Amino acid sequence: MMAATWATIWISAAGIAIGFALGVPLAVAAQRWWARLYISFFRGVPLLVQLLLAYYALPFLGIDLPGIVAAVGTLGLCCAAYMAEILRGGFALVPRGGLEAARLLGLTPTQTLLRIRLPIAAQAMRPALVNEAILIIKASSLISVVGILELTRSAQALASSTFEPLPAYALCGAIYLIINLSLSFAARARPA
Amino acid sequence: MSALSVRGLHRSVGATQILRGIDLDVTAGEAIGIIGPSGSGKSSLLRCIAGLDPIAAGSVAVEGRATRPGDGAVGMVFQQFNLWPHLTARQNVALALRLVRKLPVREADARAEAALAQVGLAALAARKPAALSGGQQQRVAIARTLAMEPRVLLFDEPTAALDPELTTEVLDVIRALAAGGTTMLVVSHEMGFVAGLATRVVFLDHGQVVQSGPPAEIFSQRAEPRIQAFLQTYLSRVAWVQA
Ligand SMILES: Nc1ncnc2c1ncn2[C@@H]1O[C@H](COP(=O)(O)OP(=O)(O)O)[C@@H](O)[C@H]1O
Ligand SMILES: [Mg+2]
Repeated sequence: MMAATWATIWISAAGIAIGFALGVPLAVAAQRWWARLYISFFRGVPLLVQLLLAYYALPFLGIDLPGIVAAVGTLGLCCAAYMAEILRGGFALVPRGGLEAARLLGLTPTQTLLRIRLPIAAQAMRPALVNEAILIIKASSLISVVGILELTRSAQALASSTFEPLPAYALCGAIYLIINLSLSFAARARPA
Repeated sequence: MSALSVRGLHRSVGATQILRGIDLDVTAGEAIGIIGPSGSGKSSLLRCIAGLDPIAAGSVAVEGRATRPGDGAVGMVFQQFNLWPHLTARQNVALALRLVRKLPVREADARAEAALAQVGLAALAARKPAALSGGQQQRVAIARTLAMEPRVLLFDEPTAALDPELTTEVLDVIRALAAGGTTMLVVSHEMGFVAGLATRVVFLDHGQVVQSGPPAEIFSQRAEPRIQAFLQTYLSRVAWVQA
């Protein structure tokens, strides 16, 4: 169960990191048709179906992904759609004047994005971003369908091998709770 | 060659003409005061010179060269300061030095501190904007612009967002810069300040220059009637208490 806990943590962390990294350009391009299409797809289709598509359907198109790649990739792509929506709201809060100052001082659009727009937006939307990260950690229980032994799957295995579901699932729930509480605590403790 | 040369500048939004043929030549070291009623186009003129607003016709040149935003020719200080709230005063000033001038961190920080010292804020370099008064924030904004050493400095109502008791510290900084020979255009409703600072005052109305001349001419009976009427509204606001 220890190993499965680490699997949940690092797979979620990777998914969240990918989600954030892809969410930024998606948020910048949020008005474009392809960004809208992307966001509607990943927000509109259940994560479970996305996982099944990535792992069981893509091979029919000649794309054969290892389970771990399908799991991290799908979590990340799905997370990106939500991160993009959150960051788009954050970008709208960045005062125009600060961007004009940056432009006059000679910062490039990319520098302005990374040094000014993104920090201000992420700061303003921190509770929503943390919330999304927590949702991803919980949703990572679904990746057992692509054959990854993560926390929930290992609790199921423990419950059926010991015939004692109560301690197995209680422990599993407690571990999720500790992970998520630590995350929100860490996010709150960081100075503004 | 003039430091700044504005020729036949027009700006319109849709069918509305905001600037209707502005001509202005500024010699290096001059401080131009720009006054005029609200909506007369003062901010638009500065924004067009800075390249923030597109121009419909005419040209803007600094030292003979056409400018574009970010080329370092023109610096601008805004009414709302426009500091970056997530960075300290030092970081606000140092950011462009690092990213645009490509200075190493230590040199950028040293220059930022020098610029902050110049506006009297050396001691507050580590504070974020939210922990500074409005006057202090505006002085950081001035330091941020100064540090990039623009050829021409534009001030758009730099004290209009400040409580009256905080305007002096900002006006003092601008006066010191003018005395040091910085070429500048200052939009302000602080008429006494403009009269004392400007080598030349330009009165704008409906997107046109009504009159331009030395302060002694604009702030006098010899000025155009429209200017006198405009200044009258300021005079009537001054409280005179006689013993
Ligand atoms: N982006 C814009 N769109 C439409 N009208 C504008 C825009 N910017 C300025 N104006 C109009 O142009 C006129 C001049 O504005 P401005 O330059 O801000 O004047 P001032 O700074 O002298 O008060 C005003 O009537 C204003 O409403
Ligand atoms: Mg204005």
